[in-house]
Amino acid sequence: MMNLDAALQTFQEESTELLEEVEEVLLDIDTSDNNKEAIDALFRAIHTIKGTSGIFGFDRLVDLTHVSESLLDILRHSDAKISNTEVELFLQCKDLVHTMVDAEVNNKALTDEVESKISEVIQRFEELLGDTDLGKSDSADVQNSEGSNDESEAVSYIDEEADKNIENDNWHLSLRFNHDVLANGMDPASFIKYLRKLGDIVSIETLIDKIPSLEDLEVEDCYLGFEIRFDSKSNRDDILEVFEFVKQDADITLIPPNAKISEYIKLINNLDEDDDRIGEILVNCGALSADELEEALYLQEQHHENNQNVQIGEVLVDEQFVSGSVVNAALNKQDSIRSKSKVVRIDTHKLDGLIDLVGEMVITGATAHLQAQKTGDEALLQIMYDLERLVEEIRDTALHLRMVQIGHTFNKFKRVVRDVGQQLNKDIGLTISGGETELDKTYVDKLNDPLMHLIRNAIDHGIEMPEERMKKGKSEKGQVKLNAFHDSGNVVIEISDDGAGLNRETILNKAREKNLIGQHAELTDHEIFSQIFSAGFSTASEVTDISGRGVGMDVVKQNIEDLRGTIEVDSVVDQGTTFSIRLPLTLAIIDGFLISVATSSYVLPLDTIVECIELDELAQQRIRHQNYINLRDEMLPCIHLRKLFGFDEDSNERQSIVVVHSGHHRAGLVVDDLLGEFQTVIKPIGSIFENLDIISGSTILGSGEVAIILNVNGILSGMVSDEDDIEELSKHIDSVENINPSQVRNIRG
Amino acid sequence: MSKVFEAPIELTIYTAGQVMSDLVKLYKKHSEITVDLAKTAEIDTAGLQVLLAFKKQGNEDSKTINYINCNHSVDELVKLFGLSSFLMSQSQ
Repeated sequence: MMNLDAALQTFQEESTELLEEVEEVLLDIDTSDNNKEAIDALFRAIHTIKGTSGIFGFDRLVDLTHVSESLLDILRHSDAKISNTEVELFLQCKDLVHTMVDAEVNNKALTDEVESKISEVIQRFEELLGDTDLGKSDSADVQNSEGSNDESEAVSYIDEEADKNIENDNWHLSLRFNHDVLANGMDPASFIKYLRKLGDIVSIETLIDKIPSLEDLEVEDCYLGFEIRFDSKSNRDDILEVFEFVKQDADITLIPPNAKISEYIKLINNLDEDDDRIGEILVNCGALSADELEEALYLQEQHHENNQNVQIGEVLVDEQFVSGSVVNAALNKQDSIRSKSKVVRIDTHKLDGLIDLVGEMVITGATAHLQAQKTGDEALLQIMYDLERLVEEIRDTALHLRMVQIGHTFNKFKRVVRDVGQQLNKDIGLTISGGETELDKTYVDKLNDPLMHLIRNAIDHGIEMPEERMKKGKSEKGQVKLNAFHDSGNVVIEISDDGAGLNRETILNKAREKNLIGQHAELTDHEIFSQIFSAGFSTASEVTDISGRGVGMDVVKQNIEDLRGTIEVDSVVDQGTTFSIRLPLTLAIIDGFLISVATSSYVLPLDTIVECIELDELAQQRIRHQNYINLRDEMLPCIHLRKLFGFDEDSNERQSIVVVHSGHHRAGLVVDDLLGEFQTVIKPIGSIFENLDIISGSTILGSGEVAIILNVNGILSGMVSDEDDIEELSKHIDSVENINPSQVRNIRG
Repeated sequence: MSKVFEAPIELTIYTAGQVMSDLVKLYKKHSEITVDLAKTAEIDTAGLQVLLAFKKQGNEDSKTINYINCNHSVDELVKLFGLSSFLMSQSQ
């Protein structure tokens, strides 16, 4: 039935992609040499949006894209370089088009502000077009000059042919729409309306012959055909492009001005209406004179008798009218279809459904494995192992489907950096690295706001005014860097600038003033810098439009923590500030390591584990009363999980130490038993545990038991405040007995 | 006595089916129908096709179908398709 919504959605998706491309190209033009390719790419993108908008009847969009396309067309046919003003204007135009597409697709009205902006931008384009001495309507001429070579060849060709040309300066367009064109969401009226943008419709004959009797009429079927005489300076490709979207749903014949009579004969032959009727219509709409029609019909008869010749003649005619560019366009089109077929768009809900199912499969697999072990049947166990391996592969593949490269998100900030920099009169470059780092799609969407805020902050508060930078002996141009990389099961995103850095004293005073810290508390630099994440803290003495009003950093921190991530800041005066965001790789399934403490099982993410150490009785005795061990001459703080979880501290079991790390921190977790690797499907945990940062979720074991997933980062950060003690202790490391290397077992071989 | 039918505000692919069935009922009973298009502010090819179908059928059956009070949008589409003389000719 009606596919209009789907068509609109495709339109929106395509436009969004094209607009992103436009923005990217525009931003690159700014820094690199102007080249034809970039302008061509812009032209193609804008042209496509204009075409589609026209088909949907979004007139305002067509108006705007038309002027910008005209300017691009002039640019690509002249040697003039694109100026900064023009780039700026195109960027504005791109934003407006985006807003308009959204409004049209969601059926919303544009605000007055946007409306006036559109008029303003159109006017500015028209002014620029006026300056180039080439009016709006002349852009078609420019296009035509491209095809002029082909045309002159064609003329000489016609001279050679004895065949007679029809006296007619107009194109002739014959359209027969298929029945389902309306149901597919296309309206022939839109195409014909849009055709008027390329030239004048001299006359039009609408064929209603095919409309059936009332009983047989299906209102959603299209029965109409059109014969159109069209006066235009556009070339064949441009006219045909109008009908790009209905190529599948219509028979289109285009006969150029002053074509040979044989073209019309062919048309009459091909149309399934009665020959005489077609002839009549052609005469009606002025394509042929009555005499010419007679001659055509006579020739047609002759050709029928002399079939062989017609074929050759037709082939020649075909050759003449199929220009090289048509063939190229067709090939390009095929290429783009081919590359499109490599990408399938999938609804995220379907993907989430798949991941859920894989999760269930992992749990059931674990149960099956347990049951198989009970039977002791070797063959069965072997099959179970194979099955488990496959499940593991499926899990990895499924999870990978959700992963996207962060580069795309990073690139979007080029524009932000440029705009904000200009607003503040600061010249700023953006360096992007690690764009190929992959992370869960859910994160990408939610990272936008925090990243935006941090970048704006860096430009506004971090980077100094050019004069000030000069005085400090830095380059006038400020630098903002975005970097991403994988680190022990986490994704780390760094936003850094080479600005003034955080002022330790200002922050300290402000924090004291707002009673965020005690008046006499002694804090490390790191702790002081962390104060900027406190609610209601703003260091800028002046509040600007660009970055917040003191509601910023705490919200950023909250956003990151909602994603189970952490954010840290590091800064050196006059060298700059770096924010590091650390996020878990995925939200759904992890490789875990199962341990037990007292009667319960717990899961540690495998990525956080460095090694496992078995303790002999002696070591166990010793460690019971101290919170550190000497591991290969390095001081390792230890956390007794029994103690942490409030169990009876005495264990009858022979305990082990799991060495874990997170960021720079390392620690040993003292546990009762090591149960081995375990594929862990993360299940959400009730909101009452939300504030317990040593727990990140729960999972279900093969036996049906629930196991808590420990958040290593949370456990270690509880320990960090003791770090100074550890440093102190490290000085006396020789006094602590070394753990015997033979007791060290690396589980990650 | 001509039967008057008032066309709806929207005469598009979404409403064409309803208009069609309403008109067919009238067409069976009356030999002269006047369709008032004053209200029709939105029309598309599907809607226009319905109007064309009745005019055509009327010509064949010697029944009179007149379209009157064309709203701007109807007028525009009819002119675009070059159908003014066919559709708007008033027969008695």
